Amino acid sequence: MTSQPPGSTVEARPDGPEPDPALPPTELPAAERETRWTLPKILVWAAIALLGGISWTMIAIVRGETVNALWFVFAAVCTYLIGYRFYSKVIERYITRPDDRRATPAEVRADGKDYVPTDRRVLYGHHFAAIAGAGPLVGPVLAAQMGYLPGTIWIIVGVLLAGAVQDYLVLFFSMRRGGRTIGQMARDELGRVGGTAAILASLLIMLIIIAILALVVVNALGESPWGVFSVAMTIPIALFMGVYLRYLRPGKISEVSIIGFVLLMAAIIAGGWVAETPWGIELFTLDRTTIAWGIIIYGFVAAILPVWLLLAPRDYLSTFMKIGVIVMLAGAVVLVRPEISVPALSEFAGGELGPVVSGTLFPFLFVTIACGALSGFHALIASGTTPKLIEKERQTRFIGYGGMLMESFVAIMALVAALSLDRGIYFAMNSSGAATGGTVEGAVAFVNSLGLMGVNLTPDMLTSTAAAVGEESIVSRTGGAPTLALGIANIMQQLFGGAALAGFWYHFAIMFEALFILTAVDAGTRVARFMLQDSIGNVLPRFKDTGWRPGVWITTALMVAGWGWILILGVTDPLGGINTFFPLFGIANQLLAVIALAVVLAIVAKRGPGYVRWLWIIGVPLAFAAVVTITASAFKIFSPVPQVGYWANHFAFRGALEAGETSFGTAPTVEAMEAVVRNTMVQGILSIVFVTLAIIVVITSLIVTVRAIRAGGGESHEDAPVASRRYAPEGFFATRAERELERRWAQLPAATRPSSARH
Amino acid sequence: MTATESRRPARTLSVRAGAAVLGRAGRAVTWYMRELMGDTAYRTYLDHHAATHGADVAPMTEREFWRGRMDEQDQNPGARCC
Repeated sequence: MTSQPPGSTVEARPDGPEPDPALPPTELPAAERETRWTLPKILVWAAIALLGGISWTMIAIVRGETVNALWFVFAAVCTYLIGYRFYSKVIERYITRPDDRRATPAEVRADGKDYVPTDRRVLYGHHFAAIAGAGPLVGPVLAAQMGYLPGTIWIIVGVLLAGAVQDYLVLFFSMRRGGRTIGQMARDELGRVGGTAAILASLLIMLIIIAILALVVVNALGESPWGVFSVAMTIPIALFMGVYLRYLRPGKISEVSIIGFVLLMAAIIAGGWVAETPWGIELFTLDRTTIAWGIIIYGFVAAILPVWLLLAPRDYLSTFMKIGVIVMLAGAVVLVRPEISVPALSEFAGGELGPVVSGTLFPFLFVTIACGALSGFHALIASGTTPKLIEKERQTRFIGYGGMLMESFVAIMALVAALSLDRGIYFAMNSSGAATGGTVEGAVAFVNSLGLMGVNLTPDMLTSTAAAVGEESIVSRTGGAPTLALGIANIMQQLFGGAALAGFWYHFAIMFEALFILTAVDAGTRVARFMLQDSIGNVLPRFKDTGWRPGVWITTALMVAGWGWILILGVTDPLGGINTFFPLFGIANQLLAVIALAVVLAIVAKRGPGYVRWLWIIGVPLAFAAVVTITASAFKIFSPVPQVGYWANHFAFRGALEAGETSFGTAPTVEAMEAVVRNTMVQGILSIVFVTLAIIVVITSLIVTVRAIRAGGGESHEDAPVASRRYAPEGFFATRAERELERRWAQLPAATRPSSARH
Repeated sequence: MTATESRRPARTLSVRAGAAVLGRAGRAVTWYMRELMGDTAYRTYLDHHAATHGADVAPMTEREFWRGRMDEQDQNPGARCC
């Protein structure tokens, strides 16, 4: 291609809208976008590749006593950089083919509120804050039972080839459709059956995700007066922030977030004092069932209160903490460089009877770690809000693909924090109460009976660790959050405060996980209620009116009852709750990914024959996620091993009950046995529903895709192209040519210059 | 000129340059945080209003704007991921 001065001509592409000749170009010409491979550039990328290669060698091949956490950071960052620079550009060139001469919905429909062309770097932060929560912090911790290598490979490779691809493509195609949601796109592309299956799946998944996340909080706060006090304090703090913003100083969000943050820190410190007083112990030591009911009541009240009072301030606080904590943790891991003594592949990588999550490595590793590698839930975020804020089409690669890379990095950090713990303590914390009996002696006996290499747990290790972080006990604190909090406390105390601050850091970590989760509970209940109102509204139109209070209350109560029921089942589960329910969370999440990728596959096939060669970019992750979801569901439905198969367990316990036995396995009473029978049935039915929905969606998508390939394309549901009248660079840093073009736009008289959210 | 004399201004200069870099970084962080948290949303709305309606229609006051924004979130909840 010949080199041209920036923007002198627009390439002749048949589908582009006619640009305004009075304006500078709205797109950098192709020749300017091409990278010129100068020597320094080649050297930099060679160095990145080399460092990444060495890091992977250190992690995967060199077998020393320990491996330094720094190698995980380097392996991850170098691989992300290479994936972002090379693979996402392949996707851009052959699948999305963005055209910056087209105006984005934010530009066409600009209303100053929902549709606002937003600075790409700011939108990146927004999008990241919306996709990342407690999920990437929990899954990797549980998967650490298989050793560090399987989880690390899946998080890093999975995100490049699956998770980030899904997020990028859903974001792009939703943007081309004015910000339509994944459910609406499924209906448009896959027809009524596929669309209905997709919407039903999203609703169910929402309930499962809220229930399991709430279960994580319950397990973290059970019997912990310090945790209960400081997390409970987030409610009055959020209410105060809400009133402050509403009546005292509207719009001063950063200011009130800083005040809220300071109050939050005070609540954590005060929690340490309160938990040492007799009245504090009396008042705030709650059992898990009580906390679960507390969260259910909270969820209902929070979802019907006005947004400004509780949800919005909590959301500000959560965004503020999210960015801060992640920067802090990444910095701490690099500075402390913990040594990791967990084996690459543990004793449980080969079998299916691991005490943390049962099941074989394939497929259960890939459902245990969902967020961080491939998370279907992101399809709900990447369609809807973010696409309405994009300034230029090319920025979708940075925001969609790049945003997911950041979440993957968070997952790696969580994995490293969990791996830095002593393995004996890890298994004592994460084995179910049914296995350890919930006592120090029971945990020591159980963990030492596992026959783990180099593990010799003593009662003193457990009691002194618990005392160091201000907890009564750390035995069977399942759910991942306490383990991660201990790992973070372990790393942070080496930087600040030493052992004296271990308790503070532990509860700081519990606090921010609870904060993310309670925000997700509140927001998720609202979204689920909204979906239900919409569905019921098709039959009873009154329900569509979101201002009709009785309708709001009824639908909210129904949704809270849905997830609350699963939560109570999980909390009272004699088999340990998290261990049996967590796979459902992962399966549900990957199922949504299957749906999102299936929709995208159909969309791309309909774009025309030129895209068929590149369909594998979507086909590979789709096939993988479909196989994982279907196999995992099949194991859960058909496996004869009671620890793995829900129905095998169901019939084993039912048989025992019918035989008149009064205790069976880990269930000591008839009531407990009946609970297992009930829970396994719910879990078994949900597995069947999920796998059926997945199969329906995959089949409809394949039919639509094959039909489109045969016909040489299909109907496009994209909005009609409108010529853009603005320009902005595509990535985080602007290139020289991009800055040059920006300058030309800046020189326009103010009246013709486009307004934007950049001040 | 002695060696010490020539060194002193150089150091002052580097301190000043360092302060300038720090100041720029600080402003960038503040800008980013205010944009990300949404402090500037009202100004964005005013800009948009001025560009589309001119001076004919009075824009909402800051208080009205934020109330409207919160009410809208009540009507259209946005999901937060796990």
